[in-house]
Amino acid sequence: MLTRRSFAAASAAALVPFSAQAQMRYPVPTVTLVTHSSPGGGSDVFLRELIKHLHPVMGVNFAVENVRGGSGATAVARVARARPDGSMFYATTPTYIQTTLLSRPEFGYDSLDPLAIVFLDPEVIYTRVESPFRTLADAVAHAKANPGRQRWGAANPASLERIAFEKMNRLIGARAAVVSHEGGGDLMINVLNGTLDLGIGEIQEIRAQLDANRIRLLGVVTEERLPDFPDLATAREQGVDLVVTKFRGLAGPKGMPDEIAAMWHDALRQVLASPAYKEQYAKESLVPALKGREEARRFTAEFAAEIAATLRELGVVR
Amino acid sequence: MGAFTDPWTVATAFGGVLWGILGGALPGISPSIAMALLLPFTYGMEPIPAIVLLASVYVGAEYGGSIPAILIRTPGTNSAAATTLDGYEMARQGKGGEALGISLISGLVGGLFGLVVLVLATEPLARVALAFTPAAYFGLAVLGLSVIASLAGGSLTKGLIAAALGLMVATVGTDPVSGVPRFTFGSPELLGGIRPILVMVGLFAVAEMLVQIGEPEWAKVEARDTRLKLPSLAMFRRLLPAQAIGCGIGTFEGVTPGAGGTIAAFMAYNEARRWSKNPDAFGKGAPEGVAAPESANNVVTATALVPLLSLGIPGSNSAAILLGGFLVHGLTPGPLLFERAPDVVWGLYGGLLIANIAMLLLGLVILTPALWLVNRPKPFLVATILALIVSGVFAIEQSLFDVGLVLVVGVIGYFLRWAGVPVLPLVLGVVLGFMLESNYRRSLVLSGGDHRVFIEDPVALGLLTAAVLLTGFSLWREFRRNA
Amino acid sequence: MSASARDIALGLAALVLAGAYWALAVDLPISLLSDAVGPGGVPVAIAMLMAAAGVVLILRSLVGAPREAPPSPAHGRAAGLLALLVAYVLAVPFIGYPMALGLLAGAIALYAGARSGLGLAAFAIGIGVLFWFGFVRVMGIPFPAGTLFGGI
Repeated sequence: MLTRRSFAAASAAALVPFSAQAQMRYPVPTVTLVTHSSPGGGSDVFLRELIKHLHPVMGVNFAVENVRGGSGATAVARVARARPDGSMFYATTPTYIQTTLLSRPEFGYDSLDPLAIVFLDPEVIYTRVESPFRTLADAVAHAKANPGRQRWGAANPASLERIAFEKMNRLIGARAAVVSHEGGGDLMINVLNGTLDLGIGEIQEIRAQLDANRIRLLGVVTEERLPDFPDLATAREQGVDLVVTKFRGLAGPKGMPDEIAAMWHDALRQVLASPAYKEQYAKESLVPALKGREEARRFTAEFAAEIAATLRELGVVR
Repeated sequence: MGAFTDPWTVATAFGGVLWGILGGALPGISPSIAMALLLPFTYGMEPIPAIVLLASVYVGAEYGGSIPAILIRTPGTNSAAATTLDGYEMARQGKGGEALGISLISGLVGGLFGLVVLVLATEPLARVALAFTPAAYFGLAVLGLSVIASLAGGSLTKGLIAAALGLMVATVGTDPVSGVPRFTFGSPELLGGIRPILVMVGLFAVAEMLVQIGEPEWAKVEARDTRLKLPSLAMFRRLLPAQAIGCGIGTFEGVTPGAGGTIAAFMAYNEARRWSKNPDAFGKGAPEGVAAPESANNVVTATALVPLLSLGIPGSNSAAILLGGFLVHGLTPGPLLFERAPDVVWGLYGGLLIANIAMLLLGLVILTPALWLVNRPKPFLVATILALIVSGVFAIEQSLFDVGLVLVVGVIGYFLRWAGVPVLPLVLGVVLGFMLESNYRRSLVLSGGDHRVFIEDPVALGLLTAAVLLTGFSLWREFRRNA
Repeated sequence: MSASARDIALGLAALVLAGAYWALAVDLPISLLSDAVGPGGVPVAIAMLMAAAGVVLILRSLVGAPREAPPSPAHGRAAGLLALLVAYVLAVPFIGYPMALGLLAGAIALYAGARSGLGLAAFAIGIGVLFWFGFVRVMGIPFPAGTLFGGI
């Protein structure tokens, strides 16, 4: 899209030498990062923030290309067919694995080679501020005492969040009605007007209502507490063995040399440590979780296997 | 209101409106696509001009969609579909210039009215948006579908076939509750559903071209009617009731997230006809039939911002892109926006006012060449329109699959015309089908399968009652006219 | 074809479509995430609506008096235009957007009755260049450049 030229123009000025130890230059002058999200969407914003900080470190020009369509399958296909010379990568989220499992496109998640996992997106469970529940434990106790009475909402059907609530339902035997919506907006209205007892989503999506004190966080569904919400207990601490992992990373075409992967790992580590970027991603409550190529490969494979098993178990895919 | 004194903001408003009109007029480029194409440019801008630019594109695009709707019977945007009814009929009678003038002035009336509502009544209207439960949304969708009874033209039976076909199209894609793929035949392109704009372009534009190429005598527009004509004062007075209906319905549909300009335009058209002294003139080139939908969908450009600004909830694709524009500049729309960044809110209001003025001025400049263009020799006109269609449709998702899909819809539209089936009920089915089904099922999940939820929710009950009354009224009128 | 015959054809088409759609709908997998209505519930209702409308239409056409049909468009001409458009879709990946579009525009204009000659050629080239400039250069949309010329 437009971005390719504008960014190339903006950054053509200086070719900053690559960082200390690796004196080797990156093999291509311009790297195109492809996302399935439209401009302004989650992965799009992630990439544009990232390249602002990566550009001086890696000394190459970056372009972001929004390839929509096919729930991400079109973008994956585009990258899978690119040359494995480090010139094109895809911004991964759990979506690309889910699309592969749900519709089995020609090019699935396994036709790309994971390059890195950069962030984890923490998910929180929340309710409206008028609700009697103060913590997740309150809500769970109420749900256990009144099976079949509570109503929970998640953004999209067959999304990770929806699956998480279904799991929670089984864990505590609440028999709650779990309703899926079209994106976060619908969901928020139904939490605010009291139609739903609980909602689940990323902090970024609910930030406006949180700041205005219209909703209350009940628990976070991660392994550890969040640095910017130290008082918010995890679901596990509150007696619900539930962890949702949503990741942001990069993947490229298969057959890319190891040196390129190593250069990315290096650069990403440097960028994540830089104070300017830290301030940026902390504001969005993103948790840095850098994994290099080998780790990312293993992580992605495990993640996909787990999702596939869950989807099969729930009967969404055969 | 510093927006007026800042030449940069004024310039971005004009630029945004110009881009929006052009994008909206291109079949396939919807308002949200036109905005998305510009969004990356705004990243480097100051917050106020950036937001004003995106909002101006929205204003321009909603208006621009009416130009091809009137001139070539092809709505450039979803919400201009209702305008084809009387707008194209006027153009065929050689009154295309007048229809364009009416659409421009009605769009201006709607845009300004919406802006006043936005400035004065955001807080109470946000409460209206919050009162909408899934059951209420189901009621709203049924109310929208009730328009079919009067859009079906001659045959209600054929109208029902068309509506059912539209509902079928709307069920393609991921199931709204369980997430299983439905009717996708394993194609990832269909997983996200079929965009209504693709159906519109195929059903109107492609089908129209297929029909026209086979007509021995091509419909001719007389050369002397190529002048833009703004409505006279008497005409303006005559159009006021229709515009008022459009403004009222547009306000209501704009503030309820998810409803949007398309339904507003259809309902406004229908109500303008119902309350008209001369309802039989509608569909035969009634100026009110252009004024009502065009004021309604331009009101929505302002009132759709109510849930976005006050709750941080985007009610449409276009509003979602605007939300992206806010977020990139570190602004979070929502309850606190008015306290934290009042300058941005007021800058946006000022920008919207400028955008509406820009729409009038640029409209006056653009419409004359547009009229000239559609009066070129037919072979070149047809070739250019089809080149625009295949390019514009590809641009939406960079997908040749979509271009093929539009051709398939075009062939279906061709046969529907041959069989005398009205296409507008089909459009309505496509636009409303998803909202209807997902909220019906959500409501039942919430109530544990109890259908009483639709009566116990006061908003749902009111909307469903209105739907029944309006349908009954329409059927009775059709029956009396035919008897 | 008379208007009644067209209505009967339409009614039969509606029945066939409703049947096929119904068959697909009842075959949809029911997952544990599903509700009581199920993914096929609403589609089945839509299929019944369409089938009912089709039956009514057929019955009315059989019973009612024959009516005058509106003039029928020339199907052959329409099929020709469609063939040109399909050829464009097939050709774009190979010969690239600007060339395919120019050829399409020229071919359609010729088919629609323009005289062949320099004017037509200029029109075709003009459309190809103008649209390429607008959509690819200004809007930055990645149209296929054509595998024939080494693009993707």
